[in-house]
Amino acid sequence: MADITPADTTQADTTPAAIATQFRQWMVDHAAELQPFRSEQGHTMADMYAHDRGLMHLLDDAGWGRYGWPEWCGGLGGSPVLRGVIHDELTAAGVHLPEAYAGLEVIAPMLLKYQPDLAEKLLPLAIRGDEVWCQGFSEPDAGSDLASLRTRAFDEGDHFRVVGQKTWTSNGHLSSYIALLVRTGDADSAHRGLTMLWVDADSPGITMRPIMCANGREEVSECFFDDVLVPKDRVVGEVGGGWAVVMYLLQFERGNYAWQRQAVMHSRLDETLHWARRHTESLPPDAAGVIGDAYLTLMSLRAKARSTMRQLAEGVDLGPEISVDKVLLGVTEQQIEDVVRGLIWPAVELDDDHEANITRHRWWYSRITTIYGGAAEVQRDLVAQRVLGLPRA
Amino acid sequence: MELQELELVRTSLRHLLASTEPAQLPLALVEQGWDDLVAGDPDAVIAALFEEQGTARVAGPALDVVMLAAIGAVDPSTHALVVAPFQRDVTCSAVRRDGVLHVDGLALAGCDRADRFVIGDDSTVWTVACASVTVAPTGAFDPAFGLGRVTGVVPIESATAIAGAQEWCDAIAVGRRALASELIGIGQHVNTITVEYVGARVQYRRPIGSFQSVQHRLADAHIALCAARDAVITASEERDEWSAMTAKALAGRGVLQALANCFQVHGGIAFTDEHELHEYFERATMLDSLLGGHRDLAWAIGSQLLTEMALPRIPRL
Repeated sequence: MADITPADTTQADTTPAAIATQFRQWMVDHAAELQPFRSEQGHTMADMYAHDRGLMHLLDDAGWGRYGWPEWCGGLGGSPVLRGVIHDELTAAGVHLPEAYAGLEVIAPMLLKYQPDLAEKLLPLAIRGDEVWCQGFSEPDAGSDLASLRTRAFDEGDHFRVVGQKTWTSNGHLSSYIALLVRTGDADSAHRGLTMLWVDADSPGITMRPIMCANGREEVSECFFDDVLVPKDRVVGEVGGGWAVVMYLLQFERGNYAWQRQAVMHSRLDETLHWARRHTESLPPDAAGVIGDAYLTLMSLRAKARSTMRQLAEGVDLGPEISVDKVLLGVTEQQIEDVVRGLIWPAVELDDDHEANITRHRWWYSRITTIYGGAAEVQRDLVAQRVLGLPRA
Repeated sequence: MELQELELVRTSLRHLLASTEPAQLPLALVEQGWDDLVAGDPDAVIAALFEEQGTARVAGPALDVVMLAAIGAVDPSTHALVVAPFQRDVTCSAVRRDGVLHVDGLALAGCDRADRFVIGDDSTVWTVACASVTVAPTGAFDPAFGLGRVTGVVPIESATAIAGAQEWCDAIAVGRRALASELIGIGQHVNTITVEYVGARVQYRRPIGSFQSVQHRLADAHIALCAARDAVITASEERDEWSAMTAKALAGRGVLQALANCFQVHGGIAFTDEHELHEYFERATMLDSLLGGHRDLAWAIGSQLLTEMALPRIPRL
């Protein structure tokens, strides 16, 4: 990639506005190289990740993909907010945001805080897209009720032996490592007896099976652990301290990830508006009101996610208030995809071209946004009981 | 402004609002040092005044004070603003035709302090003598709000031009942000009293606030208010018409949704005249309609997006 101009990392001004301006110019200068990444490619998740890797390499080589990550683990330093700038500007320029950025944004902060040695070694590969990480949290009998999980890790001296099953693991079959939440305490130890392990996905005894989803993609996997040995130095945080680690991680799933999603949804709405301007005759009579209402929802998600992302960058512990972001994210995703679908009706129902396929899978995926990472009902419980202080039943 | 200082300002504004007749408010604000406060930190101070006004459900011409300041050149203790009537897609309070101004708009409670009204058509902001138009009280949905419908026909020679269309638009943007804060003040107050109520009200031998369906309604009310508040912060950063429109629309939409939920979980008591909830509902409804209801604003936003406008990504990082 000798012809790719790198970011000028020697310059002093690393404010979000300055980085945004330079990155925008860089994207103009490298429009040809970015062209293959302007639309979603590939039918399977595996194809998509493979395609995205080209863009992640490009951004890593030029430096943009390393802004906002600490220098000691391969980044260029600066506030984590700079990652948000890059994601926002990529989508604003019509570039499809690599899927792997989602997992990275959520899981990496956990490693940086609780396992810096692993972060130093592994983050450079993940930033490049050469390795993918996943979260092994949910189980067949532990969805939103995470503290009831049953996958056991037995202490056998210098290692743990893991036995059990995970499911709904996003991108499990594409991952090199699993952030695995296991029970090290007694069966009835609830959230007190949990430990986070960092597990090589190719460890003997692990079987990953992709699950085909309603959107036509193998979004998630189920994962079987049959006497998997995990060295003790792969404990993330404290033994028995897994709940604190997962709560820390979930803040980023509710903050930084929501920022990524709003960036994507802005370009989603933007694309649809381009289409709508060319097809005014086929728009429903209430199109303007529906679009305006969706924009309002999206704008409020952006405002909330910005505030949360900034606070997380400053190390603020947000507590249960962050469930507000999670509910807003789900509501927004569904409203935007419903509006897009309604405006281009009946393409989702009848067409079989690439664009219709993409819209169909995105609409389907938006249905799960009020479920994954803690169902919207659980988030509302948390807001009511922990933020508003209403009595528990 | 430091948080502690802002709290002091808030408290003094609360007392001022509680103890001042509507017609005296502009003068009382000036005597309280309003101009210096606003010069120091306009966004925080204006938001505080209007949130307090919403919480206390005070009707008065505070909106005149901030909107006339955006227009400039007139004293709010002697001038009252006439804003657009509740009419889709209309932001002016007069139409100029054949050498006369056809005035039709709304004036806030306390407009009897003024000797001149400030009105806007699509190109000019004018003042006209109050005596040259008719002011009819509009009781209707919220009698305590004290809105007056101002109508009349004024020869252009009797009107004084004081500013242009840009100042009128600026004033509307300031007004929309202020109203968004007032709506949020209402929403916060109503949420607070509802959380207290459902914690105390017992049915089926337990506080109704322990029922999940009640909890979820109040969680949604809280979430809607959080979203609106962040939109107001965005609007004060951007200071443009677009973000003021989004803040007002989100506040109107969010607070009315929150109020509907709060009303429901109050049960029958909220339907009675003895309970204050319906009065907040009425006030929020009026404030939502003032300077553009949330549905109309959403329609205006969508229409602009559908024409040629690039999708604004605000707030910025």
